[in-house]
Order: sequence, then structure tokens, then C-alpha cells
Amino acid sequence: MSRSIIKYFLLCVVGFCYAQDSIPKYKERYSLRLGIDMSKPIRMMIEENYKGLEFTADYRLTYNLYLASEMGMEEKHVISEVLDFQTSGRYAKIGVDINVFKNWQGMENQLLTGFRLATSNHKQQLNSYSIRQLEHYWQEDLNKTPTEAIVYDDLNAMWLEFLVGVKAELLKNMYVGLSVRMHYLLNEKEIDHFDNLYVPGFHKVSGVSPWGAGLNYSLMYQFPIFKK
Amino acid sequence: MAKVRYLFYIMIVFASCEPDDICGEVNARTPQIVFRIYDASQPTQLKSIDTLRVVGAGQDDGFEFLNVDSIALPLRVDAAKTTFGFTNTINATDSIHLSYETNDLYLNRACGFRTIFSLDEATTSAPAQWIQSIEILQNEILIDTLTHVKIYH
Repeated sequence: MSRSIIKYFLLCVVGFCYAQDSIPKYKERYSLRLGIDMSKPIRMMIEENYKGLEFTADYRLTYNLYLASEMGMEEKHVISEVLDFQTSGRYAKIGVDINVFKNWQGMENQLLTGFRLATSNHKQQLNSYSIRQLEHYWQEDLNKTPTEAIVYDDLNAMWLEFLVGVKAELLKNMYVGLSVRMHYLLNEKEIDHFDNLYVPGFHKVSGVSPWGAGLNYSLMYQFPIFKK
Repeated sequence: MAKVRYLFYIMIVFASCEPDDICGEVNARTPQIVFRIYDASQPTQLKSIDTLRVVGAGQDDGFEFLNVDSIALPLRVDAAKTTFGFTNTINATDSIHLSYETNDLYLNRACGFRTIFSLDEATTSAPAQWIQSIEILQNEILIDTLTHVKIYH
């Protein structure tokens, strides 16, 4: 009798121990996401003299930290009242995104803040320019077009980007992301008697401040790698 | 969360504001050539002219100066030669021929370029009516606050 009581007791203890594990711990997915920046083709449709292509990628490192990168190329032809120039080249950006959004279990939407270190390799070409003459007495043509465009080769720039954005899963494994970015120019290869007026990836360079701005609208596909 | 949302708004505002590309710098411009007018009998003394009229070769309009010993005039930026006709108070006219090399220098995105000049020669057409001689003092025309050419009469 006493033996059967002990057996029953042990069974209960073991059962209790199992019961503790009966709610499985939810495992978060750790994935690689690859995508394309849709703002570039949209810009190509609405903006003349612009070409751009950008691939985006991110990889989840820890619960709320993502390694993120963008790579692309841009071509921009600017015709202003005083200058006609074009810039073309490629760029790469790498950095981290931090997710500050508390998801419901099983959802992986993000409210992001992050930064990138970015570098470009580009060339600039000056097609024509205008002479600033306050007293235009002679009425001569102030626009000058060199017989051969002046090419500034092998240029580069480096900058930091600070961003805030969102990423949401629209369809299974299909994400849409939107971010706005402030760019801060760290350094650039100086040009003799001219300036880097546009840098691929950085966009317009202001002559008076190191700040620039950008926007990214990405469609991304998620490749789950493991769960933990 | 709220902080991130405000940051988002601030960035959108920043991203939409681009400084206008308007050239506001008065000094970012092509310099003019500066003549100073001296007394031929006392070459260190300035000698002003009561009424001086200067007309560019082939131009209808000119510049009128009253009681001046120093004048600034625009050079052609599309040629290596500029000629002015100088008419003094008693209506005598002399031509001054200037030949130079030009060099276009970049200013900035908003202002474009400016031209600077390197004077080769300044001559008057013979026979001179009232100008005794002219002399280049400063070949490089980079700013128009220095004297570049002296005129003696």
C-alpha cells in the first residue's frame, strides 16, 4: 500500500515536471532579407536626366539589432541657369538598424532607427557653364561650352547616414520598408577648380553645409535562416 | 516610440527643405579693368577729366563720367581683345586697344564661373588726340579695386 502511494507521488512529480515544459517557448526567426529600392525607378519615371538602381539587404543579428546594407548606382544630369554637369557612379552603405517596436508574438514588423557608413566612387563631367558678369555691357554670350566636356575622374566621398523608418510584412515573407535619412558628409576627394556637386547615394551636395537628405522605399523578400 | 516618431517628422521637414540656388554674393563676379588718369607733365599727379565719355567698339551706348580720375570698365569675356573709344571734354576721341588672355574660374553652384584676365598689351591708336601715353601697371586683373592701366594726358 505504502509502495503504491510512493509510486503515485513520484508519478505526480514527474508529471508536474513535464507540465512545466508543456507551453513551448516561441522561437524568433532570424532571416536574411534582400530587396530593391523602388523609389529609384519611380524617380526615373517622374524625373528627367536621372537613372538609379539600389539593392538593399539586412540580416537579423540579435533580438532587435539588424545588420543592414545598401548598394547601388546613380546617374544624374543637372542643368541649371549657370551650370550643366553630370555625375555617375556607384556607392555602398553598411550599418545597423535597431528595432524599437514591440511586436505581438509571431509578427516581425519594425520601427527602425539606425545609421550607415557610406562611400561612393564616381565621376563628374562639366558640359557647359555661364560667366557671372554683373555689367553685361558687351551683350556677349556668357555661356561657354568647351569643345570637349571637362571630366573629373576617380572621385570619391564618404558620409554617415542617420535614419528612421518602418518595415512591415505585407504578404508572407514579403516586406515593404520606408525610411528617411539625413546624410552627413565626412570627406570627399577635392576637385581642382570645381566641386563635387552631386554624389551618387548622397545626392545633392550643398556647398554651404555638410548635410544632405535621402529617402528609401524598399520591397524586400525574407529568407528565414534559423530560429532561436 | 514617441521620440522616434518626432525624429521622423523632423527628418521629413529637413529632407524637403533645400537651400535655393541663388547667387547672392556680390563679390563673386568677373572683375572690370581699372584705369587711373594722370597728368602727363607731372606723372605722379592724378589729373581728373571734367566729362569723359567711353564707348566700346561697335556699341551704341557708352559710359559717361563727370570729374573722374579713376574708371572701371567691363572687358569682353568671349574675346581676347577689347577696344574702347575715350572722348574727353573738348570732344577729342582716342581709342584704347587692350589684348589679354582669359581664364574662367569656378565660383560655386549658384554663381557659376567668373573670368579673370591677364593683360598682354594696352595701346592707343595713332595719331593720339589727347592721350599722351598709357602704361600697364598691373597685368593680372583679378579684382577691380586695384589700378591696372595708367593713362597720361
